[in-house]
Amino acid sequence: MKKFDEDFEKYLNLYLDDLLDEGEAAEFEKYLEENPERLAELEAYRTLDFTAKGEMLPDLPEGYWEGLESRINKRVAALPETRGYWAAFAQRFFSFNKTIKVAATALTLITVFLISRQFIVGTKISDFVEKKPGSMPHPALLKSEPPAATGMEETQEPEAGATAGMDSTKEPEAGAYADTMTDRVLKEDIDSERKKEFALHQNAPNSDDIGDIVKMMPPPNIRVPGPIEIEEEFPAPAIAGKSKLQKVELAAGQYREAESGDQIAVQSLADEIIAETHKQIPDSTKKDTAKYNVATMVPDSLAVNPLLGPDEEPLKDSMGKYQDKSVRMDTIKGRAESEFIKRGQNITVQPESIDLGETQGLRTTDGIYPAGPLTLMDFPYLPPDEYSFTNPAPEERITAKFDKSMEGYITDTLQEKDNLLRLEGDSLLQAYNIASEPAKKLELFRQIIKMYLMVIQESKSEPEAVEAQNLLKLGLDNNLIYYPEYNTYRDSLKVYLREKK
Amino acid sequence: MTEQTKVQPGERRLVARAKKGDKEAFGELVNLYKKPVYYLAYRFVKDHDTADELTQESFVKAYQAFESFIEGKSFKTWIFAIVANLSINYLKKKKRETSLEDTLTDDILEDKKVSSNPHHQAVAHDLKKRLSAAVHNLSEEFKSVFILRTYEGLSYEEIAASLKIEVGTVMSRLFRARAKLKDELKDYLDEEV
Repeated sequence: MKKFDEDFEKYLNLYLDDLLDEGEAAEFEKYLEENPERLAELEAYRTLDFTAKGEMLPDLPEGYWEGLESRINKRVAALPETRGYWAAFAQRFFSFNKTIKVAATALTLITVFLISRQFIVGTKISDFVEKKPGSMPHPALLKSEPPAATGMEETQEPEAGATAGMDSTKEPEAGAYADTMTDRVLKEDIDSERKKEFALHQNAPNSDDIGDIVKMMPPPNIRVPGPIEIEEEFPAPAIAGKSKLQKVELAAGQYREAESGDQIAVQSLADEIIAETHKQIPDSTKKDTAKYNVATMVPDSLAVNPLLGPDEEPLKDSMGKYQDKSVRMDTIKGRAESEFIKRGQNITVQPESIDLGETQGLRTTDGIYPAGPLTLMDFPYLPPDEYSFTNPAPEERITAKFDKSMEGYITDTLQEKDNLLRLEGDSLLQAYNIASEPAKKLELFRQIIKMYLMVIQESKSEPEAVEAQNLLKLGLDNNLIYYPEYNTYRDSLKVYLREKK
Repeated sequence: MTEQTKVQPGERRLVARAKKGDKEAFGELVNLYKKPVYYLAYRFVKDHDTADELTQESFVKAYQAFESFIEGKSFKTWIFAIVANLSINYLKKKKRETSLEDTLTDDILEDKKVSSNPHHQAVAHDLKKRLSAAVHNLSEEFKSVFILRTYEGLSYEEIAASLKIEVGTVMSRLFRARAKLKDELKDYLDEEV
C-alpha cells in the first residue's frame, strides 16, 4: 500500500485508464476503501472523465457528412496523379538494398563535398592579373593575395602549359607566367610541408598505371593552409589597412613608372582615357535608368549605346548590326596617338595593343545572356575614393557589426578578418581599374560586387550597402550584370540590412 | 499497458490500394473516418467551420503523404496524428495572432460566480460548459494528449506515436492535464460529487 501513497497520481491515472492488471487494480481499490479522501479524489476524476466524454458536440445539419465527404473527395481528385506513377516508378527502378543505398549516399556526400569545396576555396586575385608575355604581373596584385587563414587562397601547379587547353580560364601563353607565379609563391610563402605535398603531388601519379584519361586530366588544386604572410606585414588591423592600401598604391605607381615600353604606357593612357570618357557621359544619360533597363533586356544589336548622343545614330555594318564598338576603338586609338605626340613620344598605337574588345562572347559566362562583345568602353572607372573598402577607416564602418559584449580574441579575429576582406576588396578595385582586358575586367567587376556583399554581410553597414547599390546600378547600366543578377544581389543586400534590425 | 488498435483486413486492403494512388480506395477511407476526424478537430478548435476545414486539410495531407505511411499500422492513428498536429498548429497560429485566451479565461472566472446554481441538473450542464472551456484553455501539449486519450480513446503508445513523444511524456502530460482541469473545476466537481 505504500507504493500507492507515494505514487498516488500515477496509479490513479492508470486505474482510470484501465491500465492496471487485475491484481494491482484490486489492491488499489482496497487502498481507496481505506482512504476515503483518496476515494473522493478518484470520484472527482471519474466525474471529469465522464463529463468530458459526454461533451456537447455541435448539431450538424442533415446531409452535412455527405457534403463533407464530397468536398474532401473533390480536393483529393484535384491533386495531381504524379504520386502514384512516381511511386510505381520508384518501386520499379529505385528499390535498392541497404548497402547500395548507403554507398550511393556516401558517394553523393563526397561529390557534394568536393564540389562545395571548390566554391568555398574561391579564386585568388592573382588569377586575374594581366598575363602578358615577358612582363611581370602587377606588383600590387602580387602583394594583395589573401592570407591562407581566410581559406580563400589556392595555388596552381606549374603545369599550366600542359593543361591550359583544358581550362577555359587560362590563356594559352599563361604557362610561363604560371610557372613564375608558382615559383614565387613556393619560395616566399609555402612552408616545407606544403613543398613536400607539392613534390609528392607532382611525382606521385604514374601515367602508365592510371591510364590515358587520367593523364589528360588537369592536376587538382592544392589547398594552401600555409603561413599567414599578411600577419607579419600588418600586425594591427587599423594601421595595417592604411599601410596596405598605401603600399598597394605605391607599388602600382612604381610599377607604371618602372616598366618602360609602349605597352605599359599605352595601357596606362588607355585607362586615363577610359576614365575621362566615362566622365564625359552626360549625367542625364547615366540617370536614365529606364532606358538602360530596357537596354539590358534586348539583344546587343538593339541596345542603346551610352556613348552616343541622343540624336546620333550608331553606324551599322552591311548586315545591319551596329558598329559602335569599332567607332569607339578608332576614337580611342586616335586620341591616344595624339596624346603621345603631345608628350613628345612617337608611339604608334595598335588597336590590339590596347586590347579594345576583340574578345567575343564574354557575356555568355552564365549561359543566360545574349552573346556579344564587351569592350573596355563598357567598363566604368571606379574611383577609389568612392568605392574604397577601407576609407573611411574600418573601425568606423564596422562599429555597427560587432556586439559590444564580444570582446577579446573573438572580436579581434573578426575585425582582422573583416579588415583583410576590405584590403582584398581594395586590391580588386585597383586591379579592376588597371586591367586592360575586358574578360578580366568583367570578372574583377563581379568579384568586387561579391566582395561588397561579403563585407556587408558582416558589417550590416547601410552606407556601404548604398555604395554597393550604386555599384550594382553602374553594372546594370553598363550591361556588366543583368537583371537576374542585379535582383539577386540587391535582395541579398536587403536581407543583410534586415538582419541588422 | 499496450492496447494497440487492431487493423481490420478490409482497412488494410483499402490502405494498400490508396497507397498506390487509388483515389476510390482513399474515398472509402474518407467515408470511414470523416466523423471521428471532424470531431477530433472540433474538440481542438471548438469551431465548426474551422473543424470542417481542418478535416478536409487532414485528408488531403494524408493523401499527399501516403507514401510515408507504413502498411500494417493503424490508419486511424495516423490520420488522428495528422489532424491533431494540424489543429495544434492552427491553435498556435491563432494564439500568436490574438491574445483572446486570457480574455476567455477571465470571462470564465467571471461567469463562475454567477452560475452557482443550487439545482443539480443545472450544475451538471454548467460543468460541461466549464469543462469544455477549461479543456480549450489547456496548453496545446496537454490538450492534445487529453483529447486523444479521453475523447478518442487512443492508447498511450498510439498517442506517443501520433505526437512523436515518449510514452512517459504522454502519461505525465495526461496526469497534469487532468489535475489542472480538476483544480480549475474544483467547485463544480465538489458540488457534483
